[in-house]
Amino acid sequence: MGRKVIKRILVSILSLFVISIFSFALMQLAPGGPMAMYAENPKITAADKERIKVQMGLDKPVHIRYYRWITHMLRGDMGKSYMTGRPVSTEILTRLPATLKLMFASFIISVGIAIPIGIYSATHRYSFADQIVTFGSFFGISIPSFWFGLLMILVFSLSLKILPAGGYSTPWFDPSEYPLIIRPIAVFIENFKYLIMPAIVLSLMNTASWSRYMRSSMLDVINQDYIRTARAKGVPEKQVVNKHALRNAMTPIITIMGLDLPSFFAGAVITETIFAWPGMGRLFITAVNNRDYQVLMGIVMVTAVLVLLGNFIADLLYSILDPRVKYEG
Amino acid sequence: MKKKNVTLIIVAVLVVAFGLYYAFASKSALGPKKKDVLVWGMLTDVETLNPILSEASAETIMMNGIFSTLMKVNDKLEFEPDLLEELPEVSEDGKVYTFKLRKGVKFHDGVELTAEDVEFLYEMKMAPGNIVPSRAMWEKIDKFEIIDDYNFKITLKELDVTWLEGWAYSECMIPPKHILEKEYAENGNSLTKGGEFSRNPIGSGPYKFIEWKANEYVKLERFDDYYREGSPKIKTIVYKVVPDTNSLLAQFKSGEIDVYDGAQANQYKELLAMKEAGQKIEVHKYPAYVYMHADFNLRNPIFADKRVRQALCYAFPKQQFIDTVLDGIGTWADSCVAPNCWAFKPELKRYDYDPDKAAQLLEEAGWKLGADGVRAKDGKKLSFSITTNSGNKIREKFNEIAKQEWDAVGCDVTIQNYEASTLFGDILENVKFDIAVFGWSAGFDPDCKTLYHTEQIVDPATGATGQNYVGYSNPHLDQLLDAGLKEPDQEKRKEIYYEIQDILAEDVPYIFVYYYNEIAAVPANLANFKPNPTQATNTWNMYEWEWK
Amino acid sequence: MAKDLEIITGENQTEFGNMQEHTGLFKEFWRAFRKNRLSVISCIILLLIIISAVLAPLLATHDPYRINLAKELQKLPPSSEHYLGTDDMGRDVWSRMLYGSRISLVVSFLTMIISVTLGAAYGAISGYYGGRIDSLMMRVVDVLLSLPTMFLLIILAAFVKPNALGIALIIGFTSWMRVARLVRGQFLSLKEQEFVEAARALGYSNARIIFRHILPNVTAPIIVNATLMVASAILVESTLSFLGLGVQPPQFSWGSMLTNAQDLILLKEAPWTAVFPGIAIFLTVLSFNFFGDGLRDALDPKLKNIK
Repeated sequence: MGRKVIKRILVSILSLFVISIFSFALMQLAPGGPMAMYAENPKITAADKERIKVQMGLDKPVHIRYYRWITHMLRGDMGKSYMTGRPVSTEILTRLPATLKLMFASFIISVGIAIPIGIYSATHRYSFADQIVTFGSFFGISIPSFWFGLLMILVFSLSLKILPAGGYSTPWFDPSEYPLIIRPIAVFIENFKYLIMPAIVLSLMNTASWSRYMRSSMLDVINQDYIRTARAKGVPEKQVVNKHALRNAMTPIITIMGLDLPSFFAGAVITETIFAWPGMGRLFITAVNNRDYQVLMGIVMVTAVLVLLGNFIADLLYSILDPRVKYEG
Repeated sequence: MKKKNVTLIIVAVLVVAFGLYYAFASKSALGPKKKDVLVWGMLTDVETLNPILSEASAETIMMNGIFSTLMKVNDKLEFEPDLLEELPEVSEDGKVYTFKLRKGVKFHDGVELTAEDVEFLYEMKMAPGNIVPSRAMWEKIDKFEIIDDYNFKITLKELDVTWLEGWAYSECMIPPKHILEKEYAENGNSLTKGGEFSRNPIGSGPYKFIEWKANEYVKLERFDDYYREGSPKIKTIVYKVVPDTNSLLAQFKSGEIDVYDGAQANQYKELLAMKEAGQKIEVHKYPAYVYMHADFNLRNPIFADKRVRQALCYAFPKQQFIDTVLDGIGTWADSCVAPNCWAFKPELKRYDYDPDKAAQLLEEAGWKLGADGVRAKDGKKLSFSITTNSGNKIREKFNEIAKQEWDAVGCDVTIQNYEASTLFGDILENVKFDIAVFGWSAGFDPDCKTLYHTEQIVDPATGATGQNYVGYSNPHLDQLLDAGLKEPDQEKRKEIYYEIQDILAEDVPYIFVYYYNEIAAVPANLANFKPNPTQATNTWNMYEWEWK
Repeated sequence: MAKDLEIITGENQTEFGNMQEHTGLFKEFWRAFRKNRLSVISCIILLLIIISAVLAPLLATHDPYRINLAKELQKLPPSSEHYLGTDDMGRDVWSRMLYGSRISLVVSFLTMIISVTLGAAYGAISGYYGGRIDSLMMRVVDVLLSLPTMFLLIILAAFVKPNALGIALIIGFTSWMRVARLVRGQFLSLKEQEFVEAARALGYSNARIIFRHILPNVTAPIIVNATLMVASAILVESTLSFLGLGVQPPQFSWGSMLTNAQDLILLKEAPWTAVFPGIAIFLTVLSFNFFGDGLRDALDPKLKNIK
């Protein structure tokens, strides 16, 4: 297994290298450039723009810029943002916690809902509840998420006024306004209330699809011979499901969760835009609009690393949960 | 059963927690009702708070609190001194300006602001290592002489009557030399947007910088040693970033932001309705210096003929466009000088909607209607494309209406929109358009040399750059544009710009569409909020604001 | 985005019977499919939607592009004159819905064709040859899958013209990988079967074996996958519109209609401009998903035997 792991790591590094060339080329070849941010301001003259291009090193050919980028990258320097002038690593690190917080919350929601209802509808196949769950999960994968988000804002922020329409924290929040006993609760909710709607919107699709997976995976397992045997032996149904079936049914789900990691980032782009969440998704959108190549490369590389890591962990978990599966690189 | 209980308990705990929270949070939960905080909604985050590197108007809105300028442009569009004792003295030949600084103005760290800080600003603007957005006004300086701590003299290379205006805006906010020179030296003789000062600025303005959370908010707090006695009054200002106009409106309605500056045209009615419904807000609407225009590429033989350009002007229902697409929140434009500018000429050639006249002009120009409803001349069809940056709904609608109306008079119009960075970074710069629709923001001076002068014509073939993307060349206009910069007498300047406006309205290198109208909604009890359409932005007089 | 495809098809696809060998297959399929009432209803809804898209010029009551600048003709509520009201530019929403469905459907079917063709060919070659070729080709798929599709889409959008074909190209290019994996998995097991051995023994070319002999056996999962691909493509197209990267005016799709109506003021004054395209997208996507589900159940002998 050790050798397999090492091989897997080497392959991942190679993949990252290929990803970097591929995305660098794509971005540089795209029409337009970072200078577009100075458009529509007649005070910034053409001479100014020419000077700034040279100052930013944008006058050099693509391969030289890639060489410069990759050599700096290997030394751990992702370069500086054209827009803000800050190191790309700082830009990403200030946004990453928000995105991870959002992803984590929606992951918990998805798992917390999808697994139980998946099990329930598998064990109560074709029951009324199963039909409802099935319909609900199709609902979840069929509704445009930006549309769903706007509807939530309309209901919870504008009509009911119980949740903020967007944002991440309250700049003027002052815990000392609260009586001492409920102060911790206040602080908790203060952080929590901004998270609720974005996390639900982001989790919608995964909740729906994972519950479907869980249902079909559970069905597969339940109909296996060893489960039938257990039943025939008179083991109580609850025990059959919880002890014998669940563990085996979980293994494919874990792989799927690993594979779904990129879609979390994809969903974050939309969710963060709707709810003004200051995460990587929005950073990405601004960076694309301004052709901030350095930041774009940084985000792509960081997500690629996270995704590869996520798949790796999922595979490891898989082999732990299911001893029949040998770890394969 | 067990599982059900757990779920029930969780739900109950959450309900109780939220109940308690909202019961006690009525004051701060969904909006700062406390009088010492003012929350200002921002559509974008800023990139830097260093005035040497700043370019965006969002930055000006914040930096007006942190920094001071030598002078201001007030809401009546007059200059008034800020850090100066009085407006600068100008020499006979108009090339030498003498400035006299106020005494005892302190930076937030207690150090006094002197003429050396101003000179340092000039040096930094010209330093090769600094990526300064615009050097135009600084390159015109020939000599900067310090007389003493409070007096200095600037000599221009040549006469330019528009030069002084810049001193009222954010690019001339005065940063402290004693702090910034260290950073400049330590950073290999350069200042960057990522530098310490960009994120932790110190100025001499009414508010001290406290905190900047990227993409969330910037927080300022009252500076008690501000040179104007007794001000500022409001303790804390928070600029909250809300990256979408729908969310901005939603947050303004729910009280999460107090000031919604830059509301959309179609939101005006809604804001008025809020006020009528008894909410304590004030809604300001005022004309801005930004205008939308459709640029003809005059290198295209179709548009080289003035009659075709005029025909297209007549064939576009400008007033209806303003009334419906903009809900009437826009001011008709015939030329590039704004209606609230002293040089604005009220009676210009007007292109009221008249498709018959358009058809007639096209006929005269030799474009004859073909069997397929498209005009042609010498076997070439009257077909062209119109482009703008996608995602800008107003401009997209302009294009859709233009296509419908121009097709009706016998054109064959294709809409080809590009995303902003492609349009501005490629299509315009390499003149790959037929008609391009976008906006220019202008200063309150009528000068527009960089847009229409022959010297400024863009030509990718020769590498010539400029902002005259349309390729408009008119020797007489060139003379007038040059003369306009050299005439110190405002009455005489006015005549020059009257003639310029007449020429542009007749020649129509652009279709001048409309001047933007800005909308700002503020709490009714915020006193002294005075909207300012210049680049000084609506925070220009923050020191005066107070709660009624 | 394309991951909902996998909900049903999944990696653990079972073997399918050789379709050519079963003559009564369609009857059997129909008997199974008929049982799933939701799928049948979906199928009918989809047929109606497709027919109305084809017959749009006949069914439309107004010119869908015709802008009316007169205020009294804008934002009209649904009436006998304008079945679904008019939008903020005075255009008839009913007629726009009909024409908008064309772009939405064309984009999604084109996407499906691009993605299935590319994915099936890629997966077939990879699975058939196996060994080093297979592991190299699958590595490329892994790399592409590890980039969030949304990132790729946004970057690629700068390269194509924002029309139906351009958008289908970029969505197709970012969604073929899963089809490739699926087909490859099938090929890995099918190529060991006797009929392939037999074909080889007869001296048929590899290309012939891949496309004439093995591929038909994979048709069923590909069809199911393609159905679900159409559903997800409609959603992706509307998301791209939301980000301003969809079809550009004067062209419009349901997605761009919905995006244009994503404005609180317009939602308040003329909710129908947002409600109808939203429902149309939702209903169509939902129907494709149910239809795909029904197809899977009817085509998959293993699940059918359970009960």
